[in-house]
Amino acid sequence: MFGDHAAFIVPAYGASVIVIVLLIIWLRIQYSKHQKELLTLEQSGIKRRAVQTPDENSNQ
Amino acid sequence: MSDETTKTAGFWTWFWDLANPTRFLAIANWLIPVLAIFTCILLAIGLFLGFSAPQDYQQGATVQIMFIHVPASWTAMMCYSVMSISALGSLVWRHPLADVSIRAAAPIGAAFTFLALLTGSLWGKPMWGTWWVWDARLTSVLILFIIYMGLIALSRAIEEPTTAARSLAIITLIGFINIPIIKFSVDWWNTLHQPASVSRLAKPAMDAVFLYPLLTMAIAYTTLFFTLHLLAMRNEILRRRIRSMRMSAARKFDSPSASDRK
Amino acid sequence: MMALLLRDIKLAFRVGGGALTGILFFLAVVTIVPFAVGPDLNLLSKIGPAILWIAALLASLLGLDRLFQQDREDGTLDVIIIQPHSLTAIVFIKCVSHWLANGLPLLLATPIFGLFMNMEPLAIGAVLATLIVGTPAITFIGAIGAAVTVSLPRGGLLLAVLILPLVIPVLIFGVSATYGAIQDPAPFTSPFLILCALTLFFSVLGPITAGWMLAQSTD
Repeated sequence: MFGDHAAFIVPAYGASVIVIVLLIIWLRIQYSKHQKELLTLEQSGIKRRAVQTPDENSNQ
Repeated sequence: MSDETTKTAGFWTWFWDLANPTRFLAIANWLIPVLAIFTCILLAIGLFLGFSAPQDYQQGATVQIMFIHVPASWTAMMCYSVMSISALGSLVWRHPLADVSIRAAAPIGAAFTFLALLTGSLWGKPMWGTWWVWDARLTSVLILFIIYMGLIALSRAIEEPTTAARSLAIITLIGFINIPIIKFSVDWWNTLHQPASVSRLAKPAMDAVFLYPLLTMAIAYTTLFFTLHLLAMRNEILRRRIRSMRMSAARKFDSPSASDRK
Repeated sequence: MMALLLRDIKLAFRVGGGALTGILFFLAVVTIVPFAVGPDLNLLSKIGPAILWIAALLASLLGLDRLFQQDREDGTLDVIIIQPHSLTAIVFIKCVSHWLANGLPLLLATPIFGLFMNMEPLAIGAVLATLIVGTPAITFIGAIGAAVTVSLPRGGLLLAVLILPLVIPVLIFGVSATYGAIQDPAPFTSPFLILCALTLFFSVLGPITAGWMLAQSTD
């Protein structure tokens, strides 16, 4: 269908697909890594400032 | 209470409500799948239209590459414009998510610029006989790529968040001068690269059978960009949360009150 | 202001100041080129202006992180920032002193290196003129990058990458003006004037941006 130009068209489309897919995969991996870390941190008792209860904050 | 303010004040209040990262994450969590579905549909339509387009009189089958080269370069420039607006938001209005936006967008923009350069090269060789030429548009897109890489390096180098935000914003804005240069370079200098054939509002110089796939792919790439951008912003917000949680944990170990309570 | 100027120049020429390293690097680049392209004198004289400009640009980029680095290391930068004088003016003076200490030696060495490249006197003169106008632009642009990367350990490399898109027009017009003076049909005046305009523009934008950035980044 593409004739002799296939040698250029196919790599062009192929590279685009690969780069976009790699981007999505990388973002996904980062996301699950962060979620896991957040879960570990929360389970070990570290609370975020926004959700900290008052008695933990006081220094009295 | 917040319902009343949101109803009465309109856009600006909504804009600043969005500045709350938790609020943003809530919105992102449903917006991302919606945009992703749109993107897939548009990509499918665009690719179908593209592959069913006939061979161009002058360019033969390589006109297919135009359908992914032009959207990629438009997206690369649009991404930088989004970053520049965010930079203004960071410097002028001190919007908290502006810095997140810049950091998230930079790698995505770099990827699209790389694709634009690569597909352009693959288009140039069969069409005009050369992989590369140092004309105004190619050179300025290459410089755009360098600017993106510099911004990525800068965002990784500075630890302190406020300084990092200011530095990123300033360098982004200074680099924005390149965008009009890319856009108008084919008008200002007689170059090898194709002059503008789409944006003449009255009547684009391109035939409809090529215009429709091109525009569909362009919109598809745009929604793709915003999907990726939201995903990346979400990651960046989570990363900052982890960092601040770690730092407050470290502070607790140091402070005497923590050990007293034991 | 004068005191700051003289102090900076003196510091730059002391041991460890690094101003003279710039000339050595300039010499290194100019020396390497004939090894790479071959000793053909005609070729060397044709590419001579471009090579001199590239070498001067690289040598300037190399020295730019010294603009604020030393002052930051011994704490003087913080003192300078709290001064009542406008930070823009202070950065301007620092750029001037930096150019006098780093750029001027390069200019003095240019005629000799022009002879290495077998260039005509007219060509050497043209390169010199464009470098005199263009190297201050590089310093002023570099101030922005230096202010942004001042607190980073390997800031020099990142600085060069960050300001590269801005110094490329300086290079383009500098070389274009030089070749315009040598070759008949090509114009000299317009690229030269644009070069002057670039320097003037960045002599304002550079110090303002760098001063603002320094004021923000007190760490």
